[in-house]
Amino acid sequence: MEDAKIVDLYWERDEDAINQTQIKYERYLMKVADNILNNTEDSSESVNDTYLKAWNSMPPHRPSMLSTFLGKITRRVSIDLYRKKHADKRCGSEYEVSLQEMQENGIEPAGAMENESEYMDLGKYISDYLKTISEDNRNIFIRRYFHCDPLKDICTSYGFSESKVKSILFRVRGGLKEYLEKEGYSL
Amino acid sequence: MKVKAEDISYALNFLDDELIAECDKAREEVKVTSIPKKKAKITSFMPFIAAAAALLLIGGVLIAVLPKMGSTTMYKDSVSKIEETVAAVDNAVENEQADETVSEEIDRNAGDDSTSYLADDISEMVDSMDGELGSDYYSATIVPGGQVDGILTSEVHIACSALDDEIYDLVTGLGGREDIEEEYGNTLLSFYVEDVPYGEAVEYDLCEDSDGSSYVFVFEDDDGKRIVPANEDEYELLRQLIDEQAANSILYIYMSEN
Repeated sequence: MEDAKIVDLYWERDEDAINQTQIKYERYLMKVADNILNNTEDSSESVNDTYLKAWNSMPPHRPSMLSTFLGKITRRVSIDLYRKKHADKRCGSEYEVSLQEMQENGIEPAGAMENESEYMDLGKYISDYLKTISEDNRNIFIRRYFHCDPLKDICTSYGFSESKVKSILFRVRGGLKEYLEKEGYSL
Repeated sequence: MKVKAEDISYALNFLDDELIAECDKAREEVKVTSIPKKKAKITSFMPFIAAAAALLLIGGVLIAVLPKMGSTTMYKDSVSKIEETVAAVDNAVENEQADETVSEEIDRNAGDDSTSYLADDISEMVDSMDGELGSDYYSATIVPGGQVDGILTSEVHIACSALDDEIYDLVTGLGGREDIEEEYGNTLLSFYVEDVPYGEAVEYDLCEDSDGSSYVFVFEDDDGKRIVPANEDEYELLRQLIDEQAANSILYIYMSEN
């Protein structure tokens, strides 16, 4: 079913909206969640929460890109769950590894921000920076740090060696750090 | 405002939808495109090999039997035609096997992760990629002169017939230098070297040091990331190599012991 029709079902409060979402996007959302949580049970919980949040947010929202809308919800829910469950111990997920990679560029771990508007501003600056780099480099960065895709999957997709992908990521992170510092952030 | 790694990661939830959608689309579509190798055709050539064997057998029988039956002109013509056919098929098989050898040679040089192409494909691929990849970094494929005309990986599509001895010594000599405790600033050039005597594929970054007063090389070997000093002449040497051989494209330096 087309995304627009699925969104219509949400707006009509038709529960088939969730069935159709499951049919079309469950696999994608499970991958997003599992890359962060590295646990099938937790990932299922996260994806189910996504359906509930989607149900509660449409209406009033009418997303133009349903996959991105759902993916962002899953990602946010999964990161919240990760923080809740793994405050003290590591789970070895790709999300965890991707955070560690940022330290290679001197970016400290953990988080310092507290409110949503700060994250929104930062997100906007990151988008602005990513628009200045090549499409391949941008997509590799998004795959690694938004989707938390494993390096080997990215290498396979692009036919790049692992060292090549690592080096692209290193450079993009370095560029992002520089860009954010120019915008007044301290990393 | 202080920003840490988790902040950046969480802020990605507010990334532009278009960027994510574009990435998702590329994620579904992007696949390494491999030009079929001649090696792949060898299986379809098996019937010819079988036919060649059969013809050889028939030819052998006829040659052995016909003289005893009296060698008429007609028989001579027939034998001659059979022998020509056998020779032609044999030549075709030999050529195909030679092509396969070249393909395998390229495979071996290009490494397991690479997609290899025959030399004829290179210029077209380079043209198609030229400009798309930007000039922010370079890499080159360099193979020992005369071995093959070129190697094409999925990413890099330039072959150089030889690497200047001076540059070879410089690049391979970097691993023997002592590390320096130096921060580095801007990356000026980047390139890859595979199969260096130390470590696997190595990316070298030629950078300015933190105050911009001299140059350093940054690379990884078995001991991890290393920073070694470089001087202006070395910087110029590599910059010229990059400028001359890979302007606006990716230059992948491939060194092989072969």
